[in-house]
Amino acid sequence: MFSSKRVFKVGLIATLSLGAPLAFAKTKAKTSKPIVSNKPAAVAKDAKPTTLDELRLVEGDEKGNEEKSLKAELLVSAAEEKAIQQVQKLIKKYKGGPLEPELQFRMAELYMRKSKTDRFFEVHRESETVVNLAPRVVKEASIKKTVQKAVDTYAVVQAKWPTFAQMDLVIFNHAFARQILGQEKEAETLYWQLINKFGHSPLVPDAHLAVGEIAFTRAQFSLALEHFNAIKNYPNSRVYPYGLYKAAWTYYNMRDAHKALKKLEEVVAYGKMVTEKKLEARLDLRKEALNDMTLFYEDVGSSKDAYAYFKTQAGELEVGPILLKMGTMYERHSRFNDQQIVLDRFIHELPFSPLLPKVHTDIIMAFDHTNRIPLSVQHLGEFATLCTPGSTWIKGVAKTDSEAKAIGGDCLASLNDTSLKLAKKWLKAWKKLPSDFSHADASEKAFEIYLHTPGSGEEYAQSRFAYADLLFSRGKFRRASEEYAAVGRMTSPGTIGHDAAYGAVISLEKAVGEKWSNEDEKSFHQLASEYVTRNPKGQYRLDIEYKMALLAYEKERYDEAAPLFLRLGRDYAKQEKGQKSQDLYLDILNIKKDFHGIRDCAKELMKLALEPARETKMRKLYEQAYFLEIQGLEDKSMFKEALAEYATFSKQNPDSEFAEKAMWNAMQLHFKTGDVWNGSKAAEDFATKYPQSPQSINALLRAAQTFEQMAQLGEAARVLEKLAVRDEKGSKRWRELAADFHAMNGQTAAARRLYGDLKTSADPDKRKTLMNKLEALEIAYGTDQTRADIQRQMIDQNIQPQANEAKVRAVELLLEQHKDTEAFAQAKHYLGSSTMSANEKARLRLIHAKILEQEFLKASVKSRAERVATVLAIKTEKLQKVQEALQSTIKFGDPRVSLDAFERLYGCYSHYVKALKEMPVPAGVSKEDGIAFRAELDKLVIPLEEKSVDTLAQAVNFAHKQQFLDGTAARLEDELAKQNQQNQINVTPKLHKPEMVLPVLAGVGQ
Amino acid sequence: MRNRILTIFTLVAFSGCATGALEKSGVVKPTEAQVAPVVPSYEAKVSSIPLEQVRAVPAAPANKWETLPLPKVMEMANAAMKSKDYLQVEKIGDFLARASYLTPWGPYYLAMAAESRHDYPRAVWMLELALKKAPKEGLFHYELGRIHWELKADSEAIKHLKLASELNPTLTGAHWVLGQMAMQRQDYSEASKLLEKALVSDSGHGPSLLAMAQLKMLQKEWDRAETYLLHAIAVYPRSSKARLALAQVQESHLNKLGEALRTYKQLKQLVADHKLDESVTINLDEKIQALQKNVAQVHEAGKVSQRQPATEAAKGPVKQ
Repeated sequence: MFSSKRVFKVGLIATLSLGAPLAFAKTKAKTSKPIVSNKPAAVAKDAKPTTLDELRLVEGDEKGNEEKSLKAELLVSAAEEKAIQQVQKLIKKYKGGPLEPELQFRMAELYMRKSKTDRFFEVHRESETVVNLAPRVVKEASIKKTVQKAVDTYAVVQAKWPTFAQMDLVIFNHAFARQILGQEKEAETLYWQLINKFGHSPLVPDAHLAVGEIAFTRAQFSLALEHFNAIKNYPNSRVYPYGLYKAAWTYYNMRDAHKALKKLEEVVAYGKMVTEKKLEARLDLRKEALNDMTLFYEDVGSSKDAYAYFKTQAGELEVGPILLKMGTMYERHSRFNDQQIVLDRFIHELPFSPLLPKVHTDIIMAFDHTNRIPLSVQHLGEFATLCTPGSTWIKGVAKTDSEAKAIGGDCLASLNDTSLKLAKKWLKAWKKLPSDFSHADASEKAFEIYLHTPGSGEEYAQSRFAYADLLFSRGKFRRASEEYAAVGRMTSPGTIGHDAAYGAVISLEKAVGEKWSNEDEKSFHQLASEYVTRNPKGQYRLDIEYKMALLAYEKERYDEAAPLFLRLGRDYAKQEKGQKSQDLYLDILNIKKDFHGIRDCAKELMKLALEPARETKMRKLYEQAYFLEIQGLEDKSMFKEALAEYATFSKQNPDSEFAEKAMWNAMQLHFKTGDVWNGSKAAEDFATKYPQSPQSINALLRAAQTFEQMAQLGEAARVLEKLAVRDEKGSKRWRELAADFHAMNGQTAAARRLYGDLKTSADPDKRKTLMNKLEALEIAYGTDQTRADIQRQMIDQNIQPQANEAKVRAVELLLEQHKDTEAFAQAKHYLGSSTMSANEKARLRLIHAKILEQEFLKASVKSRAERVATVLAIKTEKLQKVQEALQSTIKFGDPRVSLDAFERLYGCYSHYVKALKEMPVPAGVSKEDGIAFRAELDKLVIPLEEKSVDTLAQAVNFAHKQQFLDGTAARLEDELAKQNQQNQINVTPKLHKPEMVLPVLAGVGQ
Repeated sequence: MRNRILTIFTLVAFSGCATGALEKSGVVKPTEAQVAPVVPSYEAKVSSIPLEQVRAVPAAPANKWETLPLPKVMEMANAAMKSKDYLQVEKIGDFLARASYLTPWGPYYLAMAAESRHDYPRAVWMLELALKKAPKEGLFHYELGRIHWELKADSEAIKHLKLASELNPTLTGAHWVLGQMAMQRQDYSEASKLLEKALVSDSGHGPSLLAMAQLKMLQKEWDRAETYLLHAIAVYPRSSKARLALAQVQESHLNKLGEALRTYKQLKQLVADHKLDESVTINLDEKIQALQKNVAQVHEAGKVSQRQPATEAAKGPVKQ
């Protein structure tokens, strides 16, 4: 494989570089007519100068030039066709004549020449321009056909005119044409024919060369070597150096590098001689030889000696390129150490070589190939130094400033190319094996070197981005951030620009960690702003702006954070960070106690079609804020406004958990502002709306209490009835109170109903109380019928004191109806009862006394003389009975009844005195007896009179103690004064109820 | 009537109030519900004016009392009381009960309206509510005293009148009643104090003047008795008792025979003119003759005392 490559390469050179020119040189030399190279000149001979001008090629105008070339070729083709026709005519004319072989040979040459033109058309057959301009010509053009015509013609000449003077040339060209047609065997035969038959011909070395080439192509190296060596016999031949050169290659292919090298040394020596003797320059093949020597040297020489060897061989020629080639050879064969030795020597020996950038590149690559990365990196550094503007090398190499600039630029280009290539490679290697940091270090350094040179463009940006990525991956976040930022700034918005801008932000975040200095935050702000400005629709815009806002928020710069959070919350309402923004915005408002703001914000967010849970949260927040806002109004003593807002809140948010509290607070505010009426109404409404609220009972209690305090008994009673339903424990108490209020408010039916209901389930004590209340109700507001009904019920149920009171009253009624016996008996009966009170007993005993009093008063003292004693005894006995009854009445201690008894006792005494005083002297009694009778009566009267006055005095005294307001005391006093015959007038006015007076507030006159 | 008194007290006593019930229930914690019992909230100074002295004032247009100051509204209520427009009194009372919630005047006028229709349980309840708001205001006790008087609940009436007297010095009627009661139980010192208080409040209060005169006679302070009798006669010129008492004091205790004679003569003239409230039981002619005789004897003996002329009031007769 290795050798076949060499064969191929050498063959190619022989065919294209040397074979054809040599052949044509011969033709030219013989015909002195340009065939190919002078073609334009030939055309110029027949064409007008203007046409030539038109055909002149213009650099850069590819299409124009193609047209021009076509035109030229068409002109040539036309001329050739014309020449062929002309020669054909001549052949026809001189057929069989002595000129015919010459004409036939000329015809063959013309065909060969035409084949060149055909080549142009064949080559350009794919060109649209050419096909369009000359479709027929292009289509018909055929090298093979034309060369075949030439071959045929040569063959005719060879056959018909073997003695033709230029037969060696005919055979050589014939062979060459056959070679073109691939008929190597025929060609080789023809070359042999030439060598053998025309040994004197100058074309013999060429024929050896051709045969050698054919053998070389067939890898018949020994045969080839014979023919190449045969050329050595013709030192004046122009193919002589080439023969040496080919012989060298043949040795090399025969694995004799030493001889091969020697042969090339001969070529070099020949070249020196040509130069020295100023012979034809193209015979100097030193450059080709020196180049190829590097290949052969590799096999036989030492890298350490290479510089000295090639320096000697090169002579006055530059050795640098050869050494470089030598290095390349080593590189190709993976002999990197040798390459490094050669190049090191190069650097050392040729410090001002313009090839140093390439040398550095190669040596850097050599180190890399041998995995000596640190050395490679080190050389990259040296390379960078070399390329630094104003470096010693640049100064040494460049002659002018502009040249220095150009050289420096080229150097940098080379340096950057190398550093970037390696940076990428090492980065890739590190990514494959992250545990090996040497590649990472190297890549980082290489990127640094590359990026040291300011640049632009996609590749530069990507490289910088890769560098930033590398730094990021290695945890060098701050530098990564800077690099990302630089990429972001230098690129237009796009994928890389976006990623870089984002990378800058993220890297800074990572570099900073938890605690942000002001400086870092400023940087973050700038990077974030850049990201947003350059990537308004960037996928990380939310993240970045959120972070910006968050930083401001964490540093309590709420005015800065709030608008950001607000916008993010709106623009990204359904995303997680959008919602976090909403939350933080709301939190800021909360910190600022801007409850109105929270309320508005939450309301706005609720309008967005959020998830149910979120919407619920917002609603709750809205309600909470709204509520707090109202409480704020309260705190500011803006009670009226707070009240209105509470009402609105309750109405707008009936299902809110705060609705209940709002109503409650509104109620409280009513009270607080003194509007107790509406406060009570609100309390009642609250309890109606929130019956299950733990405050429901309190609300009703308060409403009832307030209505009561406002003397609104109807309202109070209504509320208490509600309270009775709500508060089961106190139900009876509230219903009873409601009944009381109803009664007091004239709503007797309602009161009656409630008392009645309560009575049915009440215990005896309570029932008694309720009966008393019912009685009071009926007495105050009822009819005679209802009053009688209730009293009957009380008697039936033996409810005291009403039952006994009723009994006593009944006895009194009997007395009033003059049913004295019945009354007396009943009174006596009841007096034996232990349930009767002292007052009742006093009244009953008084009934007895009144009956006895009547009997006493009725007892007349008129009588005959013999019955006086009996009559008076009866009267006195009756008095005693009355006196006894009244005195026992008084003993029961009831003031009014006692006073009545006192008065009656006084009345009885007084009556008896009067009766005795006025008692007529019995009929038939003498005057003296009458006087004696009167005297006896007077004896009876005096103590009775005294007793009467004493009793009256006792009554007065008793009345004084009782302080009755009905004037009893005054009346008794008057009576006593009269009895005592006092003349002093008593002016004390009779007591009466004081007059009505009305209030007058200070400052208001009446 | 006795039964009626009892039942009314029963109704009022049993009805109690929601506030009291709430306090007892223990349900309401004041700190939580801010439920406050009726607390004394009114301490304005109030004077009183007899009904007959109340002047008429125009009623508020369409009964719009909201814009009027409290004293003005009360003036209108008083005027309604005088004109016996108790429906208006009820309306104003209801308005004040709600609008001037902290003052006692709403319940007060509601009580007055209730009293006018003999709804005493309601009247008493309302007055007690008024007292809870203004426990130091004697006027409400005064009215309670009047109601209990009406209901013949003497001891209750006296109790409230006593409180009224103690709390409000302008309540002349209360001082007088209590003074006279004190005199009845022969507590003359207390009687003197109370009647004095009544006369300080109203120096022309006839009953107090008479009672005070009687008190001074009982205390044998004849000069002062004469003075009070003269004042009383000025107030009650038709009082035969006052004139007779004056004549007796002048004649029998002060030995002012001339003044006594003049008093009897005036009395005689008033009898003749039928300008006395009661008939005179003594023989004025005999009395005048005897006095004239005595006066002449004294004059002759040069023992006529040089006294000041009687007061204008004693000169009578008075206009009809």
